[in-house]
Amino acid sequence: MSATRGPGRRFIRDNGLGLAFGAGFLATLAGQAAAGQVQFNAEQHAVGLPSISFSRYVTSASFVADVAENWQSEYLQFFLYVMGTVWLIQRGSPESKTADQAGRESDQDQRVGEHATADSPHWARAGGWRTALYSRSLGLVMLAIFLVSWSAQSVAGWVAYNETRLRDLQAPLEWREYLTCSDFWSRTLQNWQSELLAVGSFAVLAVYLRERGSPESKPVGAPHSSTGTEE
Amino acid sequence: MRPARALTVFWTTLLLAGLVYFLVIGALRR
Repeated sequence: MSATRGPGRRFIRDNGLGLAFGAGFLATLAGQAAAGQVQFNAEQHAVGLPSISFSRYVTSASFVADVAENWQSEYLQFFLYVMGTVWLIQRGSPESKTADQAGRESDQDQRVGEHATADSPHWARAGGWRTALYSRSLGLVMLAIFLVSWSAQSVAGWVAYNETRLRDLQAPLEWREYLTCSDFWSRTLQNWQSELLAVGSFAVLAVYLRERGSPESKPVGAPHSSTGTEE
Repeated sequence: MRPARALTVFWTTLLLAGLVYFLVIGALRR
């Protein structure tokens, strides 16, 4: 770990987290597409229908519904976590603020308007609707991605569900009917429950467990009673 | 140290591409 430090190497070192997860995302999405096509064609063969090509599969309603249902739940998770941690406290958790910090905090604490510093983002200083909007931008973007993904899941899931109904010689549903259909809610809730489980258990387990060197953990020697970044 | 704009553009593009893909396929297949 030394000597050669070209600009490329420096870029990789400074952006390891975003690059590693980006590469992992693309690889696993490709894997999902490959495995999904095999599974889809196995189901086609089971009922005597022909195989479909890889390009046809990745543009199918079935594939889009599978991808979108996972996207929506991840962004719902981040939205709920970002918003929940504004108001809700978990005593002893590194993910929580202390009880006296609950809420949106003062302009001074948040360095907005006249309390902005020289290197604050422009919209943090601007005041008015720009600061109000910028102060909610993270939650709003998470919410927007959740809503678009969930809507996409509802449309793609509807089409895919109707394909199976037609195959089974059943009448197709209207989109509005699909929204109250068990298939839609089964796909939706199976993702929501796992996100809520993971986040809830993480926030509580991190009271007592440590991962040395991770910013998601308290320092190994920090007391169980210390909440957030307080000492 | 300035954060990398290129990576922000990469992730934003990825997200937008994904969402547009959902909408296009959704519209195409319905």
